[in-house]
Amino acid sequence: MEAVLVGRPNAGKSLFLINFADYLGLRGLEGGAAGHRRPRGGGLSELRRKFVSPVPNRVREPLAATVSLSAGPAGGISLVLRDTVGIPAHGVPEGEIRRAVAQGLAQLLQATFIFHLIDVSPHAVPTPAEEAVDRELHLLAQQIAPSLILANKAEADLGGSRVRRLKELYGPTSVLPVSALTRLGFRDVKHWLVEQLALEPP
Amino acid sequence: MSSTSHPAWSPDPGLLQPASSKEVLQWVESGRLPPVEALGHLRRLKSEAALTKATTRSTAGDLVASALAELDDLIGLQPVKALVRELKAFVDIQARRQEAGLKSDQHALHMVFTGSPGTGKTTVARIVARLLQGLGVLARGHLVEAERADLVGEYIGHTAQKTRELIRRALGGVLFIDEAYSLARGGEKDFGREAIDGLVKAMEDLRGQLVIILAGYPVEMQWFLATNPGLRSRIALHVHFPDYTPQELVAIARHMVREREYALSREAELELARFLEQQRDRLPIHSGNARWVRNLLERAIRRQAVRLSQHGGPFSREALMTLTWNDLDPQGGGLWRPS
Ligand SMILES: Nc1nc2c(ncn2[C@@H]2O[C@H](COP(=O)(O)OP(=O)(O)OP(=O)(O)O)[C@@H](O)[C@H]2O)c(=O)[nH]1
Ligand SMILES: [Mg+2]
Repeated sequence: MEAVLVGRPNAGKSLFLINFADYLGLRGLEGGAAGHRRPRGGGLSELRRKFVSPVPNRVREPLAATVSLSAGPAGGISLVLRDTVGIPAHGVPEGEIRRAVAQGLAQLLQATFIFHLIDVSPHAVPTPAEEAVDRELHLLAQQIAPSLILANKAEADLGGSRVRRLKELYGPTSVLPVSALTRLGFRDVKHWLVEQLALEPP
Repeated sequence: MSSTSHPAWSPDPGLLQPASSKEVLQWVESGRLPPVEALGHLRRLKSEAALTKATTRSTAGDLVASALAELDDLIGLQPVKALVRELKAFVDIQARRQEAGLKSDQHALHMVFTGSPGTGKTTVARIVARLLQGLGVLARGHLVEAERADLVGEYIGHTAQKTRELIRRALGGVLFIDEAYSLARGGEKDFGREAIDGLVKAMEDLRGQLVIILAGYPVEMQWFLATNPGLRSRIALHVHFPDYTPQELVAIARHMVREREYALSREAELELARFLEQQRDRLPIHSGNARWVRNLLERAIRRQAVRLSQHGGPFSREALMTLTWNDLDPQGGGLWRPS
């Protein structure tokens, strides 16, 4: 079972993955982080240094983490959280990034659950082209697997106007405000997963 | 070519569309397709795939309906029909439960069919195969008929090879083994044992990929299963095919002659019914046997031809169609010999 994180570059996917995995209970790492020892507590800062960056599309070998999710009396269910490379609004000149984008799309097509992250901080107001990427991504995600839009960096969306706009665009139940940084909304995301798991065939 | 020759909505022939998700990803990687367009194509391909899935589902529904209709058309066999409908309901509900995330019984659906020869076991097996295909249990829904000689070989290793080959041919469908108890006929050292072991293994390892139906006379089958617990424990359903009643056999005869564009004379029908009633307990193995009826009718058709040609024409349409009691002559021609 894989929850795949998708979104445009710099949406906060990598930071969300690391902190949410830590929140749920990190069991192991793979992909670009396979070499890392299982981090405890402070070990996460090393991951953040390597995988989180304000420079878009810097990491081309995304991270995946196995977490355990306790869903009711059945006990721990293990789930893989998988990061992908940000999907840019324009053509990509670098072949390496194009390959990483294609790989991310391949992973999206295989997803059991999809978290679609959208940056709602004030300095990330999208251009029409960027908004088109999110719209297309949302429509595709809905066809593939249960999906949720995570309005990330919500702690910086003072007044909540960006979150409101997303709810207008995609429907109020499709959007959850979160903050990968402050862990705002993590409990709601976990609840959503648990709810979906109860509906999934074993 | 002028632009007016293309209606506004026609796709530009110069603009090729990716034909599969794989192609979309390749085009993204090569830079031929910007990522945002890739998302649109993936969505289009996804919904097309969902559409073909929906249409195959509806043809699957047709398969189920036609299999059940064919079952209903069979004369008699009430308990068999009820069991097959139960089977359908069970498979249906397990699938629904699975969709709802509930525990579902994924047991294999191997079966035992007991009954005299000619009571419809093979016909029902063929219907069950198509039904299970329609229900999504079997991929192909074909029937492979086999008996001891198809499984058991002549030298060491030969049996395993033959059994494997037969199972391979039956994958996705139903493997129907008639007189299955004959596999255990030769005792401990017989190669039949090897075939039984191969079948047990296939029943376990390949469940979901094929359904095995073991068929034969009730008493022998009972003994066979009792002495082979490995087989018995993997049987999900035991269907008994009762002997046809005399009335049912007459109905079968009527149906068979109609199919061949013949008809039984009034006398022939009455006499046949009386004859079958008289023979009912005297010849237990053969009464209730539809195959016997078919052989009887086929011989009657030949006898009618001889009778008519001896008389000389011209022949009325009715005369050409009618089979008389004298044509049937059930006690002549060695018909009671085991078939
Ligand atoms: N204020 C704030 N900043 C965040 C939050 N989440 C991520 N960031 C910052 O946003 C920047 C991008 O974060 P990443 O996690 O690298 O983003 P990404 O989506 O993985 O980006 P790509 O890998 O380029 O697609 C980093 O500088 C993070 O520190 C958040 O919830 N609040
Ligand atoms: Mg990242």
